Amino acid sequence: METAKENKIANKPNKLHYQGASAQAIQYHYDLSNEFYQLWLDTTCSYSCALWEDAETLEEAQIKKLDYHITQAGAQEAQHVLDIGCGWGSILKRLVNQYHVKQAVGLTLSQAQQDWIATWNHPQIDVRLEGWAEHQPEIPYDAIISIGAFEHFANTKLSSAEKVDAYRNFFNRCHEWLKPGGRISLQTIIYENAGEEDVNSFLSQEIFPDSALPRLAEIVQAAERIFEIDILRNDREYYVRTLRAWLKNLRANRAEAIQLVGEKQVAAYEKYFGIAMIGFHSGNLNLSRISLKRIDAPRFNKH
Amino acid sequence: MNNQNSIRTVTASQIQEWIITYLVDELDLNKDEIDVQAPFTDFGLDSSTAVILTGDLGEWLGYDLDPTLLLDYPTLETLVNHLAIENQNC
Ligand SMILES: C[S@@+](CC[C@H](N)C(=O)[O-])C[C@H]1O[C@@H](n2cnc3c(N)ncnc32)[C@H](O)[C@@H]1O
Repeated sequence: METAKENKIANKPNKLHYQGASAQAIQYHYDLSNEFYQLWLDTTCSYSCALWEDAETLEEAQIKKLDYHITQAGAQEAQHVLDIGCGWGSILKRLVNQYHVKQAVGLTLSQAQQDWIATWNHPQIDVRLEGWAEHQPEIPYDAIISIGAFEHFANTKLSSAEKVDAYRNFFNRCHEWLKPGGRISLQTIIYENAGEEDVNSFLSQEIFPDSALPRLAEIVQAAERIFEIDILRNDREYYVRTLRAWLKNLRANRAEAIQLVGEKQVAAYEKYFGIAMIGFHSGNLNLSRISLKRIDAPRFNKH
Repeated sequence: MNNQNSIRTVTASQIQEWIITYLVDELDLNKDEIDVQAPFTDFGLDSSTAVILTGDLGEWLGYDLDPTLLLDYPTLETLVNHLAIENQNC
């Protein structure tokens, strides 16, 4: 299947049955209100765990996180980089403005996020309202980054074996899209000392419907023999700190937040941050950052 | 932290009384079932309740408490001690 001739990706039928959270479920969460998210996110609008090493403020820690992934993916000065689950575009912007990347492509299932990034009218940023399963790039990527989106790539109805299959489809796609020697830098929440049955029902129903978190072993199994794991770091206490910063910002802007989304939503977000903080602090959840290197000549039929 | 003026100065036993009343109401327990040295999880306290408890307790005290507090101080005794010292230093 590996016939990415020169600079073109082989044209092949693209009928994948996507088994992650539906676009509707994603929009339920992310399309709430761009202004609301802006109230408590940092200025880069990063909506995922920061990297607090030598960082004092949330913004510094988010920039460290962005730089970490850009470096791990080897995306500096690359021609063509893909960000799967691009949120409000923090990585896309940094790639083209600070790292001299020629073209940064972002995928999101959130209309509000796409609209937001589209207003920049940046010639080097291409943001698409499209899930990874529908994505069909014409030329290969030098690097792929995906931060805080993998959490949505399996729905809650799947068995563990089916989840591995769903993730395998994802890694197969990335393999097809990457140039030889290409890398993925992936960040995701995982179940650590917990399983699906332990998940707080408020989080799984009211905040992130239709999404089942991965286990580390499922990710490793899904990537096996097509990607080599280069570096893995687990940073759950950094998520506690990130959530604490979001909670503090939300409380500081409570009145405005209520005007935007109403008292009930604000209370729900406060509760979600608190429960997630407990999840990470207790070690029920963890936060993995995984650097993967493409295996260019898999020794077996990867499908 | 909320407005400095609204901080409530309390003793350890007032804090303990507040939490016990809360647990009795929220978790449908008998007052004499509550062992100050037992972990909160023994009372069936889950993360949702922990978040609401720390939120309400913080409101009563007049300053924000961290939602993870009950993990670091997992019994009534350790929690009350911690809060009483913190409250004195406010
Ligand atoms: C928590 S946000 C993280 C955004 C961004 N990476 C950041 O760190 O700020 C999750 C993102 O994943 C996207 N997403 C979820 N499922 C997706 C899929 N199947 N394909 C592409 N993006 C997806 C959402 O639309 C959203 O932009």
